[in-house]
Amino acid sequence: MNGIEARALEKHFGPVRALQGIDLSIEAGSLVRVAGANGAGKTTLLRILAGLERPTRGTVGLGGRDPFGRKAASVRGRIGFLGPTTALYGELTLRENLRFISSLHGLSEERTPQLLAALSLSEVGDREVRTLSQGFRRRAGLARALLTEPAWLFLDEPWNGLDRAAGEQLTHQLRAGREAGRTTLVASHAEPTGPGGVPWDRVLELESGRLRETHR
Amino acid sequence: MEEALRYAGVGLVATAALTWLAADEARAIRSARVAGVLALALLALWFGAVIWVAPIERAQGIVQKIFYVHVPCAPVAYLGFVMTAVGGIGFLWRRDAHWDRVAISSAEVGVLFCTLILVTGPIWAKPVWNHWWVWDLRLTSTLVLWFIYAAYLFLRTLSSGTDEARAFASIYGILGTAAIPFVFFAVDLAQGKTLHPSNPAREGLPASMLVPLLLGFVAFACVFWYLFARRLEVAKLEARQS
Amino acid sequence: MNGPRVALAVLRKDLLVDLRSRDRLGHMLIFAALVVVLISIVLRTSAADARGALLPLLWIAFLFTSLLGLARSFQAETEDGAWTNLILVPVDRGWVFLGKAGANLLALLVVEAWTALLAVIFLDVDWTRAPGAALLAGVLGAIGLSTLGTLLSALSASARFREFLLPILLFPLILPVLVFAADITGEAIAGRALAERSAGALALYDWVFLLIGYLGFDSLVEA
Repeated sequence: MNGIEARALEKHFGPVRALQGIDLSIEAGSLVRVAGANGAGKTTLLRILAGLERPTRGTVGLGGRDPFGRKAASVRGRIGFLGPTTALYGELTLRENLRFISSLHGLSEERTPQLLAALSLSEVGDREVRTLSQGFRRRAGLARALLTEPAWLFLDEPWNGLDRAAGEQLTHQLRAGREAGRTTLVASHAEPTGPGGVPWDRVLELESGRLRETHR
Repeated sequence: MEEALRYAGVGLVATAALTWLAADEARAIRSARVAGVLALALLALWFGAVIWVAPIERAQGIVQKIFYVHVPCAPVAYLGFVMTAVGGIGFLWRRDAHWDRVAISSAEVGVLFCTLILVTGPIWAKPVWNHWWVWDLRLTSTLVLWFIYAAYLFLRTLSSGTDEARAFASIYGILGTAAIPFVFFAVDLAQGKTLHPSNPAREGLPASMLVPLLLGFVAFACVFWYLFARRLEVAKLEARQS
Repeated sequence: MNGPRVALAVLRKDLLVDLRSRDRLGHMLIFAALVVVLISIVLRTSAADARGALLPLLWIAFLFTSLLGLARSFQAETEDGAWTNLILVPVDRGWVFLGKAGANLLALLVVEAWTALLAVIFLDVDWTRAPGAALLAGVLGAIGLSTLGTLLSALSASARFREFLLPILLFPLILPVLVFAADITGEAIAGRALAERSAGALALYDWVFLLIGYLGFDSLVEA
């Protein structure tokens, strides 16, 4: 239902071959880590799978639907993405930002307080995002990505800038998402440390734009 | 009105023919040889006709012969601009960089012909109207079109090679072509009158003038075809290299 | 999932960001005042009778002022990657364009009303001679400028030389809007009947660019 398929993905930036011949198939509801050194193509792979950037060649299927196709609107609405930026408006408060995202997706706002509490953000909900500290901004970005309860969640180095407590909250969210049947891809150059760790279903290893090996 | 429809018809046929040709890149590039030979032959004929067949106009003298260069450039430039939009639509539709190369190639050649119009116009106008430039419908709108497509080419120099840049340029190319009728109408409205003959009353021309003019249209169209095909080849080589 | 809801959400968000930061609209209002005052001083001190050039000059002033705001219309989206939310909307992304263009339209209407008021004070322009026609020209002109401006601003949002690129792209294409709108206002001020041909052409132009914006924006953001 919400698996991920990719066939012969290529992405070129001018002469740079960021991704070369990626074939992958991810089962619905699994929690997958994309590992690899800096510049291996993790971010590019995530952005393409999330429908944010077109591949130079190859196809992507989210639950069997092409996120770049003409009738992709409903698929797009069920994608969550967190990159290196918060994707929030600095001039607005966190609550205003989340209200905007909710209204884009036609969601009620009842989930917002619960989500803010789960990420220890309730205190800063009414502050303008630009006034928040780096750590809170990372959490705020995470809250934004989780708000729509996406069927596919893509997180790019989500542990960056998070303290230990927030890192554990993230791990908790990942577990909860897995139980709820969400398919999650996390790009991370290092295995996050912490009690229990993350119950990865799979680890994909990227090296110079190629999928080197996958192990469970 | 009938006259205008006839021009639109010829334009449509030329656009359709070029679109068909451009749809297959290899075919378009191969056609350069045919186009080159045709263009050379027709240019020779046209040149001969301008020198020996066309009369020296009584009132304006020899300078009037620039007419046979100036006028045929116009439809060819428009053809280039319309093909830019065709390439843009093709790219957005198919997401194939080949259509983007069609757009950029035809825009460049179109701007070349548009520049020729703007250069030959004043050379003709100075001795005849005693001014290099008059704010007149055809001049002003041609200048505005030149600015639109110069902006298009400028846009292309800023960023290239990404699908994003191609989509940007495609949309601008489409906007530009959609604006052409409005530019004409707006300038017409602003000016109210024009020194140029209202859509060239070709019927009034004697055969000795009509033949070199028509030859000019066909010859310049072939020159466009040739340059377009060669530019397409260059674009393809560039793409392969990067 | 409906599109109008998304358009409205984007519009409300943009207005909120504008009100919160205040600088975009504020700078435009100050700039417009400066230009109108400059025009009035230069016109009064020059010997030539330039009354006839007044309305076209006002439209040029309005265009330049709009440029300031339009150039920043996607700043909030690119600053911290908020584009992502607009790319992943669950509806046709043309609605996002309509929302952005709507917010720009409201901002431009405010600037326009302000410019018109300044023109009354400093340039003795009498809008009451044909208020309906003047209003029509103002609204149609602002729609044209906001649709085309929003689309081109989106085009140049991530480009190099953004400040330079936008006017180069915008000015030749916006010419018909200026000509038609100046024609309608000119006739209105002269107390003559509505310039119907210009009004019709301007409305059609607005419509064409609204359509291209709606259709084109989708392929623009996903690239």
